[in-house]
Amino acid sequence: MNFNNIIRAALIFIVAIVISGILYDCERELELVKFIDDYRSYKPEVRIEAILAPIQICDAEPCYQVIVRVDNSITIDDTTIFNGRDDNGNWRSYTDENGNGRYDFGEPLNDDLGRDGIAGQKDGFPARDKGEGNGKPDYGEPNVDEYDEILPLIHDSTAIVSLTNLNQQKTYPLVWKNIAANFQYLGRISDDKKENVYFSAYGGYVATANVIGLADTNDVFEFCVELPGRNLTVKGQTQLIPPADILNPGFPRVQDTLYIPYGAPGGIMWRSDPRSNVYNVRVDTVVSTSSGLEHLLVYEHPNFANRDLTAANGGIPVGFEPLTAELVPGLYRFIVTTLDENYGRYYFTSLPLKDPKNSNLRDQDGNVIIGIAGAMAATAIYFRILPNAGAKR
Amino acid sequence: MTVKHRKYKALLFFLLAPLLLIAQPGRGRLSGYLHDATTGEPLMYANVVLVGTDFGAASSVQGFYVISGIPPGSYTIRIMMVGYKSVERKIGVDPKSDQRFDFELNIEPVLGEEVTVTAERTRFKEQVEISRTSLSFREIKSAPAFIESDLFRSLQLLPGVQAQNDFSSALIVRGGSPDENLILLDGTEVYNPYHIGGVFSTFNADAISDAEFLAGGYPAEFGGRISSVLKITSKEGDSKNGRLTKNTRLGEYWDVSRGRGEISALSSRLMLEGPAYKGGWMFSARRTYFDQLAKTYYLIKGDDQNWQYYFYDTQLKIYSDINPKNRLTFSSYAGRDRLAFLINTNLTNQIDFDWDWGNYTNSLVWRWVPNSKFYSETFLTCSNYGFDVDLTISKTDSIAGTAATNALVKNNLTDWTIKHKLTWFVSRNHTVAFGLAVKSLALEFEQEINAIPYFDLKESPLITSVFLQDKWQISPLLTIQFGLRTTKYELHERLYFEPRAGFKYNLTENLLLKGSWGRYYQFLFTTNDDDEILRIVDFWEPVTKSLKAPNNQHFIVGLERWLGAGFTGTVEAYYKPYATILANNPANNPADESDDFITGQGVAWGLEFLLKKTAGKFTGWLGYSYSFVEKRIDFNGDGKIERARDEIYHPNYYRPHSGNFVLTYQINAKNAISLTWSLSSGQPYTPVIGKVYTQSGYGGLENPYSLSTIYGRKNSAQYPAYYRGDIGWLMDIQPFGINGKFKVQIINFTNHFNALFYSWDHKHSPSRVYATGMFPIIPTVGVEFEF
Repeated sequence: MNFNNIIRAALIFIVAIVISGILYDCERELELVKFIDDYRSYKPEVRIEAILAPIQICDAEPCYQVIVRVDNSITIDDTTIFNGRDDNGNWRSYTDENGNGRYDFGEPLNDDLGRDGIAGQKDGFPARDKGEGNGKPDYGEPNVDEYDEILPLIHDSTAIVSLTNLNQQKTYPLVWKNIAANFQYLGRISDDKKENVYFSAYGGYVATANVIGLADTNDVFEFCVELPGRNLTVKGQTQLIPPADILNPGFPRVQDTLYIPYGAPGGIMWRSDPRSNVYNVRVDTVVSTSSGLEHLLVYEHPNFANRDLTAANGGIPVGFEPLTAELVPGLYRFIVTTLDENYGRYYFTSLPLKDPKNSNLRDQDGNVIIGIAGAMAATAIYFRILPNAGAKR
Repeated sequence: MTVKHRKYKALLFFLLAPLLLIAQPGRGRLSGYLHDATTGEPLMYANVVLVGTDFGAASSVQGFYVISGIPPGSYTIRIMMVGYKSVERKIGVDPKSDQRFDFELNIEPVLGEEVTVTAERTRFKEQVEISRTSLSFREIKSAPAFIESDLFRSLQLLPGVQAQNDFSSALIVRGGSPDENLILLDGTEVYNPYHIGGVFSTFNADAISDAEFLAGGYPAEFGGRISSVLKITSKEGDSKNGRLTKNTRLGEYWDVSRGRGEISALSSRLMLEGPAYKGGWMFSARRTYFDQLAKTYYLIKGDDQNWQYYFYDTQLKIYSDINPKNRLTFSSYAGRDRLAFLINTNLTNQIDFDWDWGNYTNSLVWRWVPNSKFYSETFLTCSNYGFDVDLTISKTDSIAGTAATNALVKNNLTDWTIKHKLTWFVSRNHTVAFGLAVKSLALEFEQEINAIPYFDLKESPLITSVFLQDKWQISPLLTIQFGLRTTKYELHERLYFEPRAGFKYNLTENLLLKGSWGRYYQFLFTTNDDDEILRIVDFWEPVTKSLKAPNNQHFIVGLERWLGAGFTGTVEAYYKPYATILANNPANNPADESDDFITGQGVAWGLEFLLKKTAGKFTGWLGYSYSFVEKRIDFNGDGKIERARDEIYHPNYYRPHSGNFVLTYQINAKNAISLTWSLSSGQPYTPVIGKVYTQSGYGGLENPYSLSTIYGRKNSAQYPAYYRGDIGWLMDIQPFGINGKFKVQIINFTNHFNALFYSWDHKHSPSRVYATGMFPIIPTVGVEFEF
């Protein structure tokens, strides 16, 4: 996947929106059975993402250095997982403020947003859609088939997982945790940032000891995942990757905080290990609460080494993230996570999932297993967006 | 000298050896131009004969004819063309004489279906090239079209030519991608000849005089593309009937003869033509008007209009016959699309999107005919294709002010070419053509965000080519054509040799056996992906130093039968092995531009049938093709090309069976109906077999659970068969005394649902699948007028 394809995909997306508006009536739902020959013989398989993350930015426990996610794929004709019901009882209907027993425009919808998950306008865009304000959970609404409901159904907690430092000849068992990591995700479109962010957690196999220890980036680590129920033993190797160095972009810096005028051109730049040129960047807004600083996700997305800046830096990868207009004055945290070469390719590729170049996991017979054994390392910096000089406070 | 060079030297020898036979002492030559007496337009493929002899010739696209090797004596020269009154003249031919006779023919309505000489018959007899089709202005205008007559959409109805889908007018010719087609407008190369993201071509049908399409096996004078050539000749203008400035001083230099216009559901257009100083001119312009209607609507409503889309194109051609031997022609084309919108998502956020793209071409052509032996054309052309996207997202904070994020994408290609072709009419059976072309390209491709460049490509390669081409009628039954094109591409060290060969053998008077072979290279390509469903724009890049030039060979053989007046049948078989194709590298290193593309191989072969009728009340054609296209690319770079790894696959435009039926019926002098019926195999697609949560794609590290699709083998499944029927009715009208036509068309009149793509909603159990269709039933109307 290269930047040309991203731009082309974006343009096609925009034009597709326009064309689909014109040809709305040209979409129809088909019977799934028409495609039975395609999916009939597919059997659920395992997907494994085994990650070394000795340097990461964790806002809360748990914060494990090593996490192995083992999950099952889902068949097309599965009828159990996405059932369109609120299985854990956390969906909130609209608030019937006037007590008339039905939704009236202007009353808080809460989670009753309809299938598009967006509160519709009375007139105009976005329109109100089916299921909005009907008082019952529907597909597509927040807290219906959300991660908390789904993930426990796909996790595989039966594996025997270990990590070996091949250079030091040390093996560490990994244990299953129902909560291996917490994560945030954006669930709705709202000007209230807190309302946009949802919280969940996933289970996985973690190292409870300090398995990285004195290992360096030359050490080779091998993950081993045994799945007796599937008669599979899967292995994959990776090496540690150092975190990026954030470069001075020309903004004033005090300790770990940059001070940037609102609307200033430019962005944040960093330099990484030559083995890494695919990154993830993330921006959180920082809010002060009674229990301390809370970091709420604003956005995150893949990023990759900038060619011109890299060439100017003698071939050492340099990444750049522009400061976008949605970052109004306030305090933010910027995290750039470097991924090792294999993990970067898995994270940002057009290759098929089971392509041998996409996955470095192999079973005992040498077959490709969906997933990756990789490493990542994170660096963070705070930045404060300042009002422009002369602006009112 | 290498073996390869020796091989080409031998080829050159065979090309030039027949010249030893040219000595025909004591013979005379005739040449001249044929024009329509009413309009002054050249008459193509008219028949010129010396009555009572077997000496004759056909006029070229420029209306030029040559007859050589005539023994001294007295003759009657006769010019014949369907729809025109024959002209005869008594002439004398002296030894070694070289005489020029220009003729003008007057229109004469054809009575019944008795036609003895048509342009089609002349083309049938004279042309050596296989896979050649000509579409006249009438044929382009009469076929039902999506809203407006469109040259490309008419071509898509020919066997061997396919459309990617209803939304695309791009040409897929015998398995080749659209960037493998050379599109020439009056000799100038056009790089992105589409409007509205490919829905329409940029060529105004009213301005086209003739379109010659070579679907393969084209001769050495054409190069730079590896699938097909489309040569569009625009009208020259009615130089005879000026009526505006007649009898004034200005009338000697400029006048207006006629105009034609059309208003359709899409656009309004106008064409004007008239005499110019010793020549003529033609100007046409077309523009969408819907945006103006929308502007008026918003003005009346008192709202701000936050979007705009329009396209326009203009074409100008002006020529002057400085003297009987010299003509200068200037042609110009400009076409632009613009899409813009300004969305205020709320009071504080704004999205400002501006996207415009288009082509500009200019050409100056000097035609010099010093005598009947030589015909010289020199072109100076400039073609520019530009594409510019500007996206700004801005936010206004009540305290801090406004900030903006800006993304820019630009692709700009400028092509300056000077080329020359000299045709030498060696003898009545022998024509040799030489040529030289120097093409200077300037390509820029930039992408930046907030003024930081993410991609910045600038290349300015020079492409120099020479060609030699020899058409030789060895015997009354056998004509052969050999050629060699040699190209030097500045970014590569080697020379590229492109030999071409063709033959035509008369099995009987009405049955021809034709064949051709050639090797083809190209040095520019588009980076569009095979999997694109909507080919909105083309991104052009040069073949870099480290990449091989895409190349293939064409092997074509066929039979062509003259079935009667204006009725021909052809059957052709082709085989196109691609030694090198380029593809986007799915596993490229984003920091390294040298691995953005990878090379592979491919193959296309097929069998085509065409029955075509061009005379009489019923005209049209019936075509069918069976084809096979396959690509082989080592996508994962492991040194193996494996079908199981989706490295051997059919491209998504592959349709093994394809048939088209096009019919126009002239009910009476004022009414005509047209029908088009297309039926083809469904296109391939990659089946969905499962779903899984992964961290790949555009998911995040924070949330590693993005629902991804598990696919089966690439393009191993097939959409349902495609079919579509279009009907049209054209009626002559005379509103307010002006000649006009009213047309009604219904596209897809059976409202058959043709699937464009499938989309899946995996957050259901079971998953849900939706089909988005191509054109539904669409009625359109339009009015043409002439004055």
